[in-house]
Amino acid sequence: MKEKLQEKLELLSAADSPYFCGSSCLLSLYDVLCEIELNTVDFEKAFPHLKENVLKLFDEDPRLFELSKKKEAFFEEEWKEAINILYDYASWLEDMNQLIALVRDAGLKQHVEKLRMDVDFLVAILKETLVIFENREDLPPEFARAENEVLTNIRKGA
Amino acid sequence: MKHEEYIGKIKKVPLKERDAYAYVLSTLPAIEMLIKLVERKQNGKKPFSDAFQYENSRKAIDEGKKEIYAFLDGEKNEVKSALEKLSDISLKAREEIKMESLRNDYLWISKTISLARSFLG
Repeated sequence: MKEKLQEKLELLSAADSPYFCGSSCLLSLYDVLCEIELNTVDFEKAFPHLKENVLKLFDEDPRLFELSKKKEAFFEEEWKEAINILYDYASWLEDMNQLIALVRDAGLKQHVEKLRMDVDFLVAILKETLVIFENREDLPPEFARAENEVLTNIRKGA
Repeated sequence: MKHEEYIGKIKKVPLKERDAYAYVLSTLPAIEMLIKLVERKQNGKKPFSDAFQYENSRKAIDEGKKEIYAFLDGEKNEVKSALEKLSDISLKAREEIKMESLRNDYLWISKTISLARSFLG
């Protein structure tokens, strides 16, 4: 996935690409995570999937938005896709909550500011998307469970 | 150099300059999005007002990007003023936007660039 970063960067400004500010925020966060990783003992051990998850969410963020706009009934695969994206967000939020606590304890105020700013920004976008889903009458219980996990992790980090 | 190569360079930057380097690097995704958003607005139904000076602002974004890449390539240049200008452009563009979520996008872009500026003293 790492070799495609330049491609991802260029896609952000492409007029016809589905990527918007959420993906832009995730890529910006990725750059800073690479720096924090170098200065944090056992980062890889503590957060083995965080960076990979951030790049995964780069593509999943526009897909979730696209699914939220669909008016017709979902295929089973589409629900599975949306639910998996929510679990990726839940996992990302859990890691970010722990990382923010870690850098705060280390007294790294500017890192805290960046991480907090990006989490708050992405959470605001995610909440708007979830509201659109909640208006559907065919929401499966699995979706509600995944959403609950996301919201729990948002509350834990607040 | 490709973005992944600039990321790979973080560990080669002297420790005391590493934060500044990484944070300036992290502005590039925000700047690419700024380009997309201002171009969309300008080519849409309600382009920017004359006060925004679209042509000048768009040119300044490209010049700012060049300064950032020069900084990442190790040149001692005017990256601080370039970052200040880019952050201001995003805030100025935001003034012409009514939709709350888009206003938040411009604000995030401006804050991301401002934060990088704060690492440069």
